[in-house]
Amino acid sequence: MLEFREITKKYGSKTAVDSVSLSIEPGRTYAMLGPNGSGKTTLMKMAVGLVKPNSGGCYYQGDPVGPKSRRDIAYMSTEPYFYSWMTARDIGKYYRDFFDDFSMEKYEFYLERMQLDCRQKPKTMSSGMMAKLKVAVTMSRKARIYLLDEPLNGIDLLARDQIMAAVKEAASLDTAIVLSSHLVNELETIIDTAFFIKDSHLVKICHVEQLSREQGKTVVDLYREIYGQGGNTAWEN
Amino acid sequence: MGKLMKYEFRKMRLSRLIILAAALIGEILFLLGVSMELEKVLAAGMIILVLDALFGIFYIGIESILILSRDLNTRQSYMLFMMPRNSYQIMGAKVLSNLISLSVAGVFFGAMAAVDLSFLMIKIDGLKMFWENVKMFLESIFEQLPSAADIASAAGAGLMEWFLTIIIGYLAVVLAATVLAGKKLGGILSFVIFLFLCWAVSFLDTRIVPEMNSLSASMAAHGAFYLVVAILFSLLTCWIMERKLSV
Repeated sequence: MLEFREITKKYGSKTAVDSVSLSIEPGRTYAMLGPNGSGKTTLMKMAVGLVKPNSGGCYYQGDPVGPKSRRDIAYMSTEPYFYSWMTARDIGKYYRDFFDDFSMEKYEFYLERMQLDCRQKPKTMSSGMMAKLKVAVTMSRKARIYLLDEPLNGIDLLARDQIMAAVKEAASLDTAIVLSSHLVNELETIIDTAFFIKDSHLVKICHVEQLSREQGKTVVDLYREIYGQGGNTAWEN
Repeated sequence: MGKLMKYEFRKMRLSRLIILAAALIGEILFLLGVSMELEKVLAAGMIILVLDALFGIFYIGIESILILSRDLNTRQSYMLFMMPRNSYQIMGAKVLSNLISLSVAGVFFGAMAAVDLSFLMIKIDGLKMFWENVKMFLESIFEQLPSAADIASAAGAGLMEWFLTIIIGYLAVVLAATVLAGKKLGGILSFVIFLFLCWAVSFLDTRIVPEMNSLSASMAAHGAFYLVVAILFSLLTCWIMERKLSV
């Protein structure tokens, strides 16, 4: 459904993503794991065409990603990005104006459940409220692919539960969800597959069930092996 | 593109309201001054109206360049480039909303000036005589006094030239965010490119556009030239954005 082919992105002399190839299939929930600066965000941004690769490409249903694929791919950035003059309600109206799959009812439901005031402007919100607002507006779309960049960053336990509930509700047979995070514990229970990104490279793809069945390990164990001490092991996909 | 334009206008709503409010204050003072024959109030009203017209039209253009810069260089760029719209639609909405804003402001202030001057002529007896003297003075300088059509076409050409300058500003901002991004002195270089292009267009204007037998025809030709060049620069800007822009 969504495929990265030998994709590379450089910022000046720094390589953010180096020749990464992977594919996202419907009906699955993925975690994109790695420490800060490993290239997760750049990879996600290239999937929606916000960042242009230096070489290789990203393809949705066989075509390069662009305005058309953005109709089916919902991306949630880790940084706040709303216009400062908008209220939470204005943001919903904005999304409704541009995305046919956006449901205002669903958005209002999420706002209420996450205890957000639709009259409040994002610039006056705390980081936790902002994180919930971003999740609410993104998950109110009926997209084919959800790309959520660090959705659990900087928020309390109860807010995390609400966000995880919204993610679980969006999971279906024709939908793929990709969550990037370094909070591996939180994700382990809901993901099927994990991509491990290290120093701009994709170093490992693991299927959670298979990992547990064949090696008796958890994703957390693998994360420690890859990024912790002794993490210099050369991994193969 | 209509929805994109709706939000472009929304981004500039506050400044438009301030310009409109200043025009209303100027107009009220002007009308009070004329009807109650208060010279100082009349002068204050006229000064506010003239300054508001000049500054308003100038600021509309500058603000649209600043908004484009914010839309490319801050996180709010996602609100545009995450939407299922291409660079031609995004830039097209900006160009059209700017052109409409400038045209509406031009027509608004032009119409206001025409109505106010007519009102002044009717209301103040001595003014007609004064105007006749002004006309005689102008006739002694110019071979032929500019007609209303001449003045309107000159104002139109002036607006088109300002519109073109804004479009060149858009191009410079996009160059700074794309091909010059991350380069040392990229910002200064884009400003130099802006100045060079403004000069080059003016140079070409004097060489390419023929002088016509009437002032209004000449001004219309210059205005058309500015509009065509503005469209070409807009397309070039979109083309660069589509291929090179990362936000």
